[in-house]
Amino acid sequence: GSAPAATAQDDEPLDSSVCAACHDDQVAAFTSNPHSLLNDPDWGAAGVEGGSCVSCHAGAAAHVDEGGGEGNIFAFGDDASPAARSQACQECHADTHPRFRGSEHAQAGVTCTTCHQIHQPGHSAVSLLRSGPMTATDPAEAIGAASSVCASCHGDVFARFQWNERHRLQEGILACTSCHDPHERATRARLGGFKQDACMECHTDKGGPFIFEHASARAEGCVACHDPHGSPNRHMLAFQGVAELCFSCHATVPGFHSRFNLDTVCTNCHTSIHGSNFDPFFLK
Amino acid sequence: SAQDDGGSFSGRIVLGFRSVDVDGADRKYREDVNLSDGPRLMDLDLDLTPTGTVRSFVDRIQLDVNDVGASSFETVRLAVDKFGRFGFSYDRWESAYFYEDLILPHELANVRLSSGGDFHHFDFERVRDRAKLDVTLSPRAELNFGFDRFAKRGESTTTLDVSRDEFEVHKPIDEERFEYQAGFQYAWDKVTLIIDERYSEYQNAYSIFLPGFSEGESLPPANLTSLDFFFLDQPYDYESFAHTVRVVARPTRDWIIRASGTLQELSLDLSAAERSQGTLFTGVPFTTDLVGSGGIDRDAELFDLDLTYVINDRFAVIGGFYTRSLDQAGAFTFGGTRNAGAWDIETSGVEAGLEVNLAADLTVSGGMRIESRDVSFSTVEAGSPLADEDESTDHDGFFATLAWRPSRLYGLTLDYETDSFDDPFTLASPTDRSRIRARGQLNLDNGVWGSASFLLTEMENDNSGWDAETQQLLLRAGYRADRFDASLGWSSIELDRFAAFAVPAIPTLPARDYTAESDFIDALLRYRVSDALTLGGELRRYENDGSFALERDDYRLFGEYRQASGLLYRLSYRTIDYAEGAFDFDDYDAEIIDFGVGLSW
Repeated sequence: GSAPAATAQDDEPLDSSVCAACHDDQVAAFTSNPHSLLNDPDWGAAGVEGGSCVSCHAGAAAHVDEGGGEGNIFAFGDDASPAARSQACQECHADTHPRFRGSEHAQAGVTCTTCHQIHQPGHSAVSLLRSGPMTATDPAEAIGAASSVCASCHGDVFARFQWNERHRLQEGILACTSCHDPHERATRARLGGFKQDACMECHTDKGGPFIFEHASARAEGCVACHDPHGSPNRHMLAFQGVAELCFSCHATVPGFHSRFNLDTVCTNCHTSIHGSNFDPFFLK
Repeated sequence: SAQDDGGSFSGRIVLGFRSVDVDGADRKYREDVNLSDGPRLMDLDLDLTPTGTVRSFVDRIQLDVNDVGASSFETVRLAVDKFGRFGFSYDRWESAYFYEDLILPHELANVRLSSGGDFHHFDFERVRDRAKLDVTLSPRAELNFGFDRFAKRGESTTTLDVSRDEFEVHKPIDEERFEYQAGFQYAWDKVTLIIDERYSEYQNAYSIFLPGFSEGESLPPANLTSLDFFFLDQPYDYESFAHTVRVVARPTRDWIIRASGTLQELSLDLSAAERSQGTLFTGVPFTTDLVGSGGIDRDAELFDLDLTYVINDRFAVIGGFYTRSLDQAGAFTFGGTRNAGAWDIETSGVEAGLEVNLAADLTVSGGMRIESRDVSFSTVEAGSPLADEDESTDHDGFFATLAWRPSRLYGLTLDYETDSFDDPFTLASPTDRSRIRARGQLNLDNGVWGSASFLLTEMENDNSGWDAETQQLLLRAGYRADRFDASLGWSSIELDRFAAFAVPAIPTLPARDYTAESDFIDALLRYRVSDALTLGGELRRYENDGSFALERDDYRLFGEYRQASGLLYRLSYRTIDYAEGAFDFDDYDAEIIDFGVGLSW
């Protein structure tokens, strides 16, 4: 049968010791978990209704009355829609992730519990993340929990970090969440002019501001020239040959450039290619 | 672990030594792998859940330290929590970066491969420290504070164009950024107010110099350029403020309304001094002794309004409106010459979508987005206008996703999106873009799992003929049991990029059809032979048959032996064989041996 409604608004409070009679492992693990606050009466008074397990698992009274079983309690199972599962979490977490419902993850039926495990002991700072599948892409075994979870579904992106030119995800220096917010809508920076903000946290010197900006970088962002996940090419550029990239846009060059060709490295003269305070052509 | 009254204390510490032996191009190894040898703290993990009086103050303390010591990549993480009272975390990472292109005789150099011509050298370290403290004043009120420091220091060289010749010059790297953040959040029953204030400052001690005489590359009599010395100091710093106010309202259970506004102000000061002496290509001596100063101001505004309306159990409507505004102006007077630049970028967009849960296991969503951007910029060089341009780009797009997840055991996701851009800013930016992606997953209860995905991305620019296509196929399978973990994966990525160059000054430029046909194979086998002994091996193979052909084989064998007392020993042997197709200048073989002794409890 279908699961009860996700919300516990009409449920009577139920002490977690009742649940512990059958689910003692999960209740015990809860004490080292941020969600243990649900047992705190102060938080209950502040709008976290139901208390304890019932806050998330609606229909607990019927579940208890019937001596347990499936289908009589909201258990975040396959019988509940992805929206209903996430909605149960959003009862409390809408403030922190109000745009999750419009995210690409939500559109793809990904729910909070796809990535997060709720009952395990855990630290709020790592958001109770599940562990991803073991792969051979982490020889140093340094890949962080966040990236490991992402790799479970985004193996195609993860493969790109095996190119020689890549961000140091495998070494654990960066995580997918260093640049991406999995709870947000991904479409908003296409023309926004702010898409390089995440890049500038580590590549601050490339972001200027400069008197003479490289217009493509300012208007289109770093990805106009670079493949950020990884690339076969030097500096994670779109082409291994620098001139191939530059001439893709710069049709108008001075006549003396006639001695150059696709083997030319434009940035040997145009050294300050990200922007300059001296020269509009980035020569210094 | 020691456990008492719900408390626990578990941990692991492993000290070790890494031996690295590279045969061949050591600098290429440093570019790609860069694991250095020497003693190090391989692992320090502590996890404490206290009991008794201490538990009244702290619920959990976790420390995770990796590869500290003689290592190129170090991470430290500390987290302390008292649930419902405070949460503190501190992260630190250090990362080394190395790049040095090979300088070869012209007849051998080929910049489209990995040899020759890119006269840049980088050897520096990045360090980042981040701390975060959340203080819960009450279930409704929270204060939060953040600190973020980023530093980059080391050596680099670059080139300098002087009188028709290029000179390699030193460019020390010395920059540091600090960010301080404070925020407050208060939740009423239906509305939450969030205020966030950030202040950041950044210093860059930018300088380039050539301390002694250098002859130009081009020889007399065609070119007589030489430099006796060259010094340019251009230190700059900026400070920036960002003020954000965000409101999240849930007037009813069916609505989530989020409104957010951010104002950013940035003010940059720069000064410069240049001294140089040398000979021009004509043979005429020259000297420079210039000073200058200037500044740049930037204001940015971001506003977002997002709506989520849950019509019923099956339907939800998503909508959003946003604007972005960047206004930047700066001027710099150097040696009596004034340069200036100004930018104004205004963007606004609307998104709307519908999410339909046709059944518990089937979700269909789709929507559209419209965006418009106006860019205007102007530059002044030596007091004279150089550029004054206005560009407008309109974008509209459509996206759709079908997710079928009948069970946690398996599922399938299909998504498609297409975008068109009217008059994009560059000739290598797409006028049309599309992406189709299919993913399937299987996770059986018996430990067998698998996944497959296919991705096709197409981008093209109608104005220039530039186009790019990516096809990617991924197949992965594995088996996980109590003592056994195995996986095998194959990914094929085919990149095609075509550019037809229309450069009047160089009519002979041929069109370029660049390909990167990359195959990645990886495998892992880990077997826990007994409670004490774990053995395993893994391989990664990368082969590129495209324009820049190469092969890389990466194998590792590892083992860990743990005594009942908690004493543990680790040994790992890794070998990497890197070979390029066209030349062998960058080929290398590396052997990396890690040995560690530690204790776990």
